[in-house]
Amino acid sequence: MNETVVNLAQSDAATTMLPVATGTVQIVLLTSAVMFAVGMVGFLTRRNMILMFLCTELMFQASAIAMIAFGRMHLNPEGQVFVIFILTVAAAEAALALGLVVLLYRRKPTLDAEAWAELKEC
Amino acid sequence: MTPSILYIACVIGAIGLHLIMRPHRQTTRIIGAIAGAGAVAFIMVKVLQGLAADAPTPILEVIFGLAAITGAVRMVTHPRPVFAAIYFVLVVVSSAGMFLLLDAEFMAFSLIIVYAGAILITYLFVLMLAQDATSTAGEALYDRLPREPIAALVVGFVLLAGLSDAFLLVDGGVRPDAPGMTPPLASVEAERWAVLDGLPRQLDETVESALATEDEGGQTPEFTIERDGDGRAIRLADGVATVDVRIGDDTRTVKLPISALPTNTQLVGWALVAVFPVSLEIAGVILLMAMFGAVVLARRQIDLSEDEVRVAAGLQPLLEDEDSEFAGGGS
Repeated sequence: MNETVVNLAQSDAATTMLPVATGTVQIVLLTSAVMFAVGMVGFLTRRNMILMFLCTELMFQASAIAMIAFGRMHLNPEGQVFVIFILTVAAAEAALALGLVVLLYRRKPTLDAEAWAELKEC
Repeated sequence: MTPSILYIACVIGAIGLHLIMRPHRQTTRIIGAIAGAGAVAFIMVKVLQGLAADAPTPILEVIFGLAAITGAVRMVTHPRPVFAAIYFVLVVVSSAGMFLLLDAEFMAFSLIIVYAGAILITYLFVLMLAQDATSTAGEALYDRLPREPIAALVVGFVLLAGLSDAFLLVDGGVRPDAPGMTPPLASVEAERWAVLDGLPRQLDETVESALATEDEGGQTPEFTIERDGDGRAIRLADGVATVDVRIGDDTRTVKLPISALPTNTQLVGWALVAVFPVSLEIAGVILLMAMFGAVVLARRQIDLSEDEVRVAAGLQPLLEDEDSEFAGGGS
């Protein structure tokens, strides 16, 4: 078993089979948690509609980092596959959201989300 | 690290972010930045102290993490939208760096291409199209004043306390070195050889080069790979992968080198088409529908009458009577 590990460390193609360092995973997960919280605070506090959508992209990014870290930790590529799907959803969301923002901007020439507060139920 | 230290650091970080977010004087914002950076650095130092003595210090991870958090905070607090978008590029680049450190090089580069290259440019285009005409300085009032900052900070940082508690404290935190966390090397290796089994052309090339190495540069003969009833060619015994090949009438066993294992990108592609084929199709449909939706949304013309445009620009309407024959089309 030990010999295999030494062989693996020498081969570039196979280093991804070795367990990841604990510190790497913990620091990366901490970063992703902070990024998600900051993105959420940003989504709730920014008034600019475009920046609110940009903050959701920040939250997507944080979850992508967490998925890559967990996928690397469990040594399977499915975390990365999920990040591909996150990229898909983020791209679709950007296209739709920005189309919506342009439409709303034509109706009322401001990006302030408060201008559309009448859409709230209460 | 005890929970109370973590929660106190979260509270200090929330106060720091609050001080940065409000349009205070410059000194107050600097104090807020120092408080926030201190809280993040304190938790990172605590994480590093909790590692085993012989574990490698994750210096690059800390650098990329601090850069990503700085970019995120600046993006959330910057009064100019264009600068906020550019700080998001910093976040994307630092997360791509973290992906590289986690051996996900394909995702790192596609992140830079798709996010920094495509999505961010779209955001910048829309920002330019919808630049607020009334504010000459580029800093609209609604970009400087946060909405309900206290409530948002409570929500965000309670979430952060919960998440970091789960990641760092519960059962000693997320630890790949804990027993049972990382699958045994042999099973991972078997899985990856099985992926190579599914790539016939690459297996052919691998066997050919292995044959050439064994024959020391001699002419590689024509060969066919023997497969068993399940279509598997690679056999694993004691961590050594072998393939039976038929050359003419006799059968030979070729040992595959460990460097023939599929790379990370190949594994991702294999998982994408072999494990999640339906999800891949659905992702394509979602992109197509998003394109249709964007086209439908952007095609719709809003017909404002001349007076409505004047009111929107802050001028007095010319006509008092809405039903006048000059009032135009309406919306």
